[in-house]
Amino acid sequence: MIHKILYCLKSSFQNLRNNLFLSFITTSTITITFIICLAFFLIVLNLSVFKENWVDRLQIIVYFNDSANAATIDKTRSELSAMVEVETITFVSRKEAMVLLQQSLQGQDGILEGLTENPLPASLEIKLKQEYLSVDGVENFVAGISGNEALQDIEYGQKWLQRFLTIFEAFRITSLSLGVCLILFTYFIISNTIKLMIFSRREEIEIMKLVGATSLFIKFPFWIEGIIQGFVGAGIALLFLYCTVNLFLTNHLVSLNFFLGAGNFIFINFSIAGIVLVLGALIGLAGSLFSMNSIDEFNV
Amino acid sequence: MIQLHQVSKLYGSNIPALSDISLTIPKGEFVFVTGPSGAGKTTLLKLIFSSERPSQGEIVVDGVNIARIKQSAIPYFRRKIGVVFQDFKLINSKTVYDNVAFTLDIVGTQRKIVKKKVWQVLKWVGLLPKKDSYPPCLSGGEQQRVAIARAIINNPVLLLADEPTGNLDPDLALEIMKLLKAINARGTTIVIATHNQAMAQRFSDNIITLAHGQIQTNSQ
Repeated sequence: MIHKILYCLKSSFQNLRNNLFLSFITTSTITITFIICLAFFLIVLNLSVFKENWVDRLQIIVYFNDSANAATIDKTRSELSAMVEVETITFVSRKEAMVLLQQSLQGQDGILEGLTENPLPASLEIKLKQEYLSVDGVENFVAGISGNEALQDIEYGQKWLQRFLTIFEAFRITSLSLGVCLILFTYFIISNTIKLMIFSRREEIEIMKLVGATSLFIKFPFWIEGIIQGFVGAGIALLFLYCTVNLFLTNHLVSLNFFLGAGNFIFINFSIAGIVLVLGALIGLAGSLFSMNSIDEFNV
Repeated sequence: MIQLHQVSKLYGSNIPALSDISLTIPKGEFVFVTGPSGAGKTTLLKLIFSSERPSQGEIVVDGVNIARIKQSAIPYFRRKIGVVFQDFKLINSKTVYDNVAFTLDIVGTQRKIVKKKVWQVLKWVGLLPKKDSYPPCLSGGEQQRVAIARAIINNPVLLLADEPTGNLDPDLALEIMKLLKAINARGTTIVIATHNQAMAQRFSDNIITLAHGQIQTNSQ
């Protein structure tokens, strides 16, 4: 048995070598397909992490009406502090707000020179508890307090958040659809290549049948070829993306991430890389398994 | 060794290749099947080799009723039979050695035994010095000797040859026929399909002549 398996493995590698051009084209196509799929996956993965990080740091700022006096502010502050979602609450008076603005405009103080009175409202900076730090949690909290008449405005980056979530969802759906399409595409590419390889070795297969080779013995090397092509294609795609991301990271992504406050760019970890390789091998195997009918059609 | 009982083979719906053939070939015989082109010689060999199924009748080869053999059992049945064709049917991308060893590889024979057997059989057919050559670099006679080596390496009980000398000049044809005779002398039953009546008469008294898919004469 072991001799047969070794012979089949040897035969698979020989076939790949003998059909080098066809093998190269197939593996390249699989590589390109996987690069596209994995690039989308990486974008979705990083957007997802970015979303989590961003929500984690999310702060809600409520601005008081100009008419709100100290008693109203204290009452509102107490009411909000008592809410189960709230972790910390910090009061920023109109005066403190102006000081903060002046600090942030250091060197450009002239902008504020024409002001006769402080236009900035008093505000509360609210940080929610960890368990409520989600998009839904924040929106529910905001909806709960928005009826308060003492409040002029509630700010939590809602427009930005909505846009971000729309883009994130679009990427997620696109990458899922693209992934399915490209996996089918890979399957057809492998399937057709194996068919071409079978056809190019038609005589050899006929001779194998003549001398008493079993169907399994004839088909096994083709299965191995499919697995190798899928595995190598996925492997090269991972390697290519790893190199590209690393080179790109050093030049551009670091500054982009710093700007967005997104943290480090996340690459596929070992377990996902393993899954990608196994997926490549399985697609290769499926492609070759379903091309095997053409072998049975050779009537010898 | 081979028994055919009222065997007929139709191609398509109504084109008879063989009609009502009954014959017996005992073990160890050297038999020629002759007749003009289209007489049914190749079809007869294909039926014996289980490459085709008979439309009617029974075929028993070495105790196996191949008219009713399961598809999955055919490879195992074929390992007991050697086949040689007019066009040699060698794998051009494999060396002479690999072409012959191939038959043993598919049954999972140990490498050491494969090497020993291939060397023996190549020496016997006189091709050991060319074991590393590829078929296209060999003469027609040499290619046919490789095909014969491949056919006999498993010590088959039966060797079928379909026009084995059809592509060869008379000297090479004679050489191949002598080789087949030598194989027969070792106990292997040999059935050769040929249109060359003179060649058949020269090498055997057992000649089955076919015409229009029927046995015309059987000198057995």
